[in-house]
Amino acid sequence: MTSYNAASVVLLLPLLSAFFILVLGRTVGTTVSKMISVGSAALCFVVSVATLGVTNDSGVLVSFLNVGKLHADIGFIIDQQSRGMLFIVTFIGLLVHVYSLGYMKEDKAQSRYFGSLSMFMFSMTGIVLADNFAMMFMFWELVGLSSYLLIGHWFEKPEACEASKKAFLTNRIGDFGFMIGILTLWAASNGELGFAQLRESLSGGSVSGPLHSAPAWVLTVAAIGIFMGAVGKSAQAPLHVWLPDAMEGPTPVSALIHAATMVAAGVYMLVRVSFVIAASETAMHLIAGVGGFTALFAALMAVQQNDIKRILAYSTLSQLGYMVMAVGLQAGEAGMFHLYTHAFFKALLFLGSGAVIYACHHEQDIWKMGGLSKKTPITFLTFVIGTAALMGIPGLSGFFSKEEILGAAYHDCGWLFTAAAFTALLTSFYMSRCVIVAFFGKARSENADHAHEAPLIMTAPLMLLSIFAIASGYGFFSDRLQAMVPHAEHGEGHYLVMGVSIAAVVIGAGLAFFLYNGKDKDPLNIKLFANRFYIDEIYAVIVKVFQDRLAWIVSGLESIFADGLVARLPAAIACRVGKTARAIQSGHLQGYTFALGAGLILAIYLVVQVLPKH
Amino acid sequence: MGLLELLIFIPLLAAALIGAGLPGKVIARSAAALNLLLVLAAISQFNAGNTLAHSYPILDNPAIAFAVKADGLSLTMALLTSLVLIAANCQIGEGKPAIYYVSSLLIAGGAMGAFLCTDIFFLYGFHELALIPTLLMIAIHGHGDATNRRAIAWKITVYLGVGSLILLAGLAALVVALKPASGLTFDLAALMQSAKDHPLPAATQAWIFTALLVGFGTLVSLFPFHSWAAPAYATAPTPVAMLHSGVLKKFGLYGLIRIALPLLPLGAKHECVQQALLWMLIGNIIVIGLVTIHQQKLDTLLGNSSVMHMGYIFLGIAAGTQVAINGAIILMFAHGISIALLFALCGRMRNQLGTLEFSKLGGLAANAPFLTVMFAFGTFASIGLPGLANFAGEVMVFLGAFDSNINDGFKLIHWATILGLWGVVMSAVYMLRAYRNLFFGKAASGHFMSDPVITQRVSLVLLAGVLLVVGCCPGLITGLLKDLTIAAP
Repeated sequence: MTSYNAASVVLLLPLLSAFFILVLGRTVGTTVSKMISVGSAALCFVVSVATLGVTNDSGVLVSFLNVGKLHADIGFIIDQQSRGMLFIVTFIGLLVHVYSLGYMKEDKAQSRYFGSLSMFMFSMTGIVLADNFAMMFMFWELVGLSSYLLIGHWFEKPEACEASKKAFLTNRIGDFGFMIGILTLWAASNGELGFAQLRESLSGGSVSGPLHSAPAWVLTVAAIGIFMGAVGKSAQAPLHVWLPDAMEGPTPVSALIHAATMVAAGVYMLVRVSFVIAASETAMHLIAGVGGFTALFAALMAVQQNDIKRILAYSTLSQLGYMVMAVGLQAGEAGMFHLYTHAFFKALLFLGSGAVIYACHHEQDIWKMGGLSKKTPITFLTFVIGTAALMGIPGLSGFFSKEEILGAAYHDCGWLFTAAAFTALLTSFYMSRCVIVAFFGKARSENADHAHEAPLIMTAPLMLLSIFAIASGYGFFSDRLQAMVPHAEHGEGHYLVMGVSIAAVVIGAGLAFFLYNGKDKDPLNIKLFANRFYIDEIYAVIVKVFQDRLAWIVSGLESIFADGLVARLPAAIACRVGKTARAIQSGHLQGYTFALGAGLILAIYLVVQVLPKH
Repeated sequence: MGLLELLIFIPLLAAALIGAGLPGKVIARSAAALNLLLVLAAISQFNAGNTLAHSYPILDNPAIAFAVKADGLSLTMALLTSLVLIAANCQIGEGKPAIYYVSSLLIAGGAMGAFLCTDIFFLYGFHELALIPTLLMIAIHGHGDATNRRAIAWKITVYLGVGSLILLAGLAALVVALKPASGLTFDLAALMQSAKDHPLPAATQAWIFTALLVGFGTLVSLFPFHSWAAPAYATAPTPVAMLHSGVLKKFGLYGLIRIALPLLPLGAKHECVQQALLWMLIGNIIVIGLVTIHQQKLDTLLGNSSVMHMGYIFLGIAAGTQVAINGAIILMFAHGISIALLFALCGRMRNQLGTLEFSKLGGLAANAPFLTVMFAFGTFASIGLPGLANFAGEVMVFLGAFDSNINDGFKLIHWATILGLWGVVMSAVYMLRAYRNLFFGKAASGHFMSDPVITQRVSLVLLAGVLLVVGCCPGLITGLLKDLTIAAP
């Protein structure tokens, strides 16, 4: 299979599926829609596995805009990064499609759900394949749309509507910066949008590129702008608020979009354009700082959450923070490696949490669960594997990738390393807490008491994913997955990093065991963490003051000025002039005669005295 | 009689026939459908390389001729006109008086004439022809109580009247200033030649350009001459609101691109004029954007959003680069289609629900999935989602406006672009808020909406389909525009 064909199939098949379901979904019925969507996901998976074998390539699928010096194509790059990512997206996508067949069995709007899933697969593949900023941005927006549709799937639920709107708008704020970054690069490079062309223009190789001679501030603006896009999509502080709320969507969606793939798109994109970031020292520091901060900040919030999906959501934020930090530390490969392993174990955890929620009749509070280890053994076992991988227990995939990032931090920046290590400890703590409370002890509610194992169509994906969660860190696997693994430099400090990371796991898990084993309610009560540092509340005030209040004021001023000054003032003047003129037009003959006489004298004066002088 | 003349006269003739007592619905719909077919025929002729032009001289001195000519720009606008005409006709309910059909045909015919004529005299005249039924319809059949709608009809009449007057003065000054040796002429091609041979001094160009900008600008609701637009659209009967906001309003932009930019290139680039235009369009985007966020009713929200979106097209015109102008034209087309779609839906909702206030509505999606999808097309088009037509236009305007040397720092046009990008965020805020309040959540009691029957869906699907097709293949329009000469060399 040529890379051109592969790229077209993987991109177009889900689009056709989504379009078909949009137009005919209602006519052909749920079953056909489901089959088409799952079928297209399966075919895409097969094609992307086949793509793992092809050589690097790039090309144009179709031209989108071609005016003057603007050339925006729908093109593709096939290289190690995109092959690996394509595998992740289609593999987890397929599993989520299959899992959804079980999880969404009783939903009323399954056609819409599967249509949106196909739409997501299309958009995400576009991001992975994109070879220029225009295409990247377009698909970037489209994943935003599919995320909006899927979070708001249960649109009768007010929380779901608000969450989907919040996700879209928060991402829009990030995209505001992203677009400024793209425009700056476009202007500074004299009209380039392609990654390859921009890289060339920046390197100042054989043809001295205009970007090479651009002043430093231009590149900094570009890099920070582009990073803002990633801050939105990958939910980094301060735009992280949408991701936890996005858990209002169906759980399989959380696994696919809000854990494994879409939220990682920010990291993927940053690695793709790392040459731009590398050109600006300031941007690099900023990115590493934001990533490190988010990792720690989100882990602190995760410690005090009670909703099983929210714990995982904050954990996702925190892990994304790791990846972003790695990009900022110029260790993009370590970031991508963690992206791969994280995709497997986090999808596993989310699907596992879905099975738990399914088992407990839509109960999501871990304090109302308990004792599930015996009632749902497969879910329990796979969830524990996922947890162990996330905590970074030695030998599992998460351990290797997290250590690469810790290593990069250790070499570069002391306080980032401290933050990252402390995050690792917290991760181990809150995940152990989650497992202990949800799966051990006694059932704390009726729903938990009557829990039953999910059907095979849901547990099979869990088992498959656990294999990957365990093994994807090993060279044998990661080579075949075309994962980007950094060339390990086992220099000085390696053992220190490893020691610290193992210690963090042990201390965190130990603390959690000590605190939570056998407890029926949370012995810790940290309001600040439980309420997520009150960030959402602060934002609500900001929106109220700087948007709604400002809109109110501007609206009032607008009606005073635009209506008053532009319309009513001239109208009033006209009225006044009319009134004055009416006084002259009094109907008194003497008045008219006087005016006539005066006019006549004026005219004669003008003709006789003024005109001859000119 | 060529294709182009037919395009102008079929709607006018149909209006006359309906006025004479023939059945409105049948004649209006067949005229509209025929018009669309003829526009498509004209486009294929144009793409095949045929020149579509006719000229019927009327006066020798000053030279006035009924001259029509098609190029990419005018064909794009003609296509927009015929599409919106079809949709607008389909929104006229059973039992409405014939004047609804007559007025919409007159507006469309006038707009066609304005877009296809190359003689300034006729170009201006056709626009006035289209304007009069708009004003009358708002006064006679507008929504709301009689005093209110008459007040609003007066307001828009005065505004647009004054705007047209300033425009007339500007055009007269232009024609006189560019008078060739052979005597006064209103023919655009002759004026263009004259402008090329004897360029006017920059100061004169700047003055005339300013007059044209204010005149055309008022017609397009350029800030701060915009306050007629939102109440007018909220009051106008649905087909009139669709045709005016979708089509007729674009006349001002068309005029700037067709007349002002090529004939007065130095005026457009004049420092003061450019700065003033940039500040005004920032007003459109930011000030009106905030005003739109404040709206509590769908009709005024759409009216204000349509004022706001004009800012992006003005940004394209202010930038004046090829990419930006192409973007502005795509955006004119796209905005016309998307706002017509939204006003059509808004009209249906007003009829069925009796109110458009967000606080009283909700959960409409449960019973009206089709309308929900259609509204989503309008919403996401107007917030610039890729794949729908507006995105291509917006992104080209932004790229075109940013396309200058930035190594010495951002200039006003760059800042205007950045503010425009923030405007995209604001559009998303108010459109998604409206969408969520109307369609999602729990159904509000007492307000029920159902989907229309299949036959009434066709026109809405047509508009949504056009948004999708042009959004996915903007090349369909930029292909028409590749030979467009904007600025005289």
